[in-house]
Amino acid sequence: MTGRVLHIELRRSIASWLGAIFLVLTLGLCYGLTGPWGKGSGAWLAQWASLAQWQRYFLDFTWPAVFALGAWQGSRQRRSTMDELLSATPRPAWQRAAVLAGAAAITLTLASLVFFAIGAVQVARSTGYFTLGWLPTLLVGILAVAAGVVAGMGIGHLLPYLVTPPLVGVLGFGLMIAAQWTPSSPVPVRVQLFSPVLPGAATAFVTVAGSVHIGQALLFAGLAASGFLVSVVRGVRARIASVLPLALGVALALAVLPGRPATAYPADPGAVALVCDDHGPRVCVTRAHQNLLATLAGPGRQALARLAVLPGAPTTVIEIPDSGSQYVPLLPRLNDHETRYWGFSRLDPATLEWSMLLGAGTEPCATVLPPGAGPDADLLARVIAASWLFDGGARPVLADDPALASRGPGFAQEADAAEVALLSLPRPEQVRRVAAVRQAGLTCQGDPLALLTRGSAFR
Amino acid sequence: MAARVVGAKETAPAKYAWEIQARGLRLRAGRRTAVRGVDLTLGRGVHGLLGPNGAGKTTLIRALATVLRPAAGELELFGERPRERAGLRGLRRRIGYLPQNFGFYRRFTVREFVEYMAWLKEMPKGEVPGAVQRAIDRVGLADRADEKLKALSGGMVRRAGIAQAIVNDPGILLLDEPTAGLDPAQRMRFRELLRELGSDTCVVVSTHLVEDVATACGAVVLIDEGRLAFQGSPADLAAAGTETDLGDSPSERGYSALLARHREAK
Repeated sequence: MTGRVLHIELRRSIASWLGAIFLVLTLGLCYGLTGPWGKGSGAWLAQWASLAQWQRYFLDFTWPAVFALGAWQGSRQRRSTMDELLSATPRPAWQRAAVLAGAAAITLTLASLVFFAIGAVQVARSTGYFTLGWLPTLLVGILAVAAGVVAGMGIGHLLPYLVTPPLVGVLGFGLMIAAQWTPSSPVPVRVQLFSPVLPGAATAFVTVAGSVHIGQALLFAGLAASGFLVSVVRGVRARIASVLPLALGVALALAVLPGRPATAYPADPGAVALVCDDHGPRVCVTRAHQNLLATLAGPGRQALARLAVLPGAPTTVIEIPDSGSQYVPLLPRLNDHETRYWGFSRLDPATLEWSMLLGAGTEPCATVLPPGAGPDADLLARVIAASWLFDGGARPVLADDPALASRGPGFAQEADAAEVALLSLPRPEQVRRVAAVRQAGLTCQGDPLALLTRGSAFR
Repeated sequence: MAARVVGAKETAPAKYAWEIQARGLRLRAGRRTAVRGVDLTLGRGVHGLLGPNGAGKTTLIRALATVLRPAAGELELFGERPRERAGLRGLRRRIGYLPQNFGFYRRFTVREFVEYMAWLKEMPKGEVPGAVQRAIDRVGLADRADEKLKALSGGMVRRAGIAQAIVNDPGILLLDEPTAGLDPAQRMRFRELLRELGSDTCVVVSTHLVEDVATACGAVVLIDEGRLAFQGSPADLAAAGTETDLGDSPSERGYSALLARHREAK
């Protein structure tokens, strides 16, 4: 019979709407808007763990909505003047509340799983790296959303006024904003982690610490328990006491949650591990990108062949895990004979080869200015070196890099002029200067543009 | 009416003399004492609860529905005192209640709402579908059973309210102004239903309409200012009035006369 009543609540309470609104809102956000979730190696459709983390990111907007809708549902009994009738029935109030909360939790769980499944179909196609790291992220997310709706119901039951749901929604959104993860936030990291929102996967190589999952699970279990108790108990004293599970959850969460971002979002050693192709000069990618190895091997060896004209030329291509910063590569570099391949956006062989030849096979050292910020000496030297290696100056420098072409005509003109000047030199001098650019890229010392245009490290 | 299996519990002889028994019952409505010492014994049959506004009818019914605790005096339902929690739960399963201010979930259909109430009354699972259909049939809502409550007229909602009250075949059925919003035809049908229910149930119907009581009730309880003013048959009620009393029918004149006499006596 409880099953039958659950069925009724699923259809007639806000539950069905709740799941639909949650799903449509989440899908609308991630497909309808462009944002950080679509970029970089940790894009939401790139990796399993990234998908789960970005799904948590969208809770920034959906969690307050769920919280508010819960408050609306929680006020149903009073709005419908059912108190009198219900108080004459024998069935304990907690069973009534449990069925209603269960209905809401079921639809929200389904909506979360459907969203994940939609993403999973695409993730399965785009990565060969599978871990179960997404599972706790997803499960704690579902718990957080269920706790949100139950807490909303408790507040709605306690304050059954028309203004309660919108106020609860605004309050929830305010809390999300306050706890939002930013490196400069004055809110301690432990408290930031009270939010169900995760900052989203910056790269494919970070994961979420187990202590974060445990702490958040304790917190949201406490929140759900308190919300449920408030809906059920009678009397002022009992209602005050029903805050206890939440207080306990907060205390336990504070004890368990990590205090530093680096601890909360550690590197994923499995994703960083290298997978290599040894049929010819060695080409390695991270395991997160292992299904790109076949695509990269050809262009990688082609790039090595072109670099062979330089003295001390590299013999292997190794992918450096993307650091997540668009402008500053933070990972340590080694002064060895490896060509390090950094990031990829398009996967046609020519583009891949070109990107591996940038800076004569090195990573950028200095901050790369964002587009539109004007010519950038480092970047100029890097692309000219790539162009020289790629086709010996047969084509304009930016012919193969539309991304850089967007920097404006000044940049392209300067690049072409510098390449013409380089090509007018005797061949051994050209080789020496490009080799110097590579050396500067490996050591991050000297001015690569000066090395290229004047043959010395100073302008 | 559909045939149904009658359980041993239903046919077992009652261990109590009266379904409802009150002695010196005092009840508070907020800070006000609304019922001040009422002695009452009600058995099977239809009892019309009459009285002017503010007489304490609703307060008395709320106490009978176990919603309100007596401030003083004794109240026994089915021979048991509605005090202890465990006992209360058992009692509530055997009570049907239609509050004066009947609330409902608008998005539920009639059938869903009555089913929901049957669940809240902890009816055995197997009995629910049949009992729900029977209750809906009895109030004449069979053709609207799968419509949402918000789509129904006021009179139909009232009938849905009666359906939820009778779904658990209660031993005590409490109806607080059930005829409000019913049109004359519906009211006549309702009286018929009342007489039918009264054969095996203790029905307490509170109403302003003296005519309802005169035609559908086997007994009349008149309360005024929280005290019992009269208890007897509708014939006694009619006989109490004279041509000089206020009213358009013998029952109404009896009502006026009894009320006046009760007020004089104080």
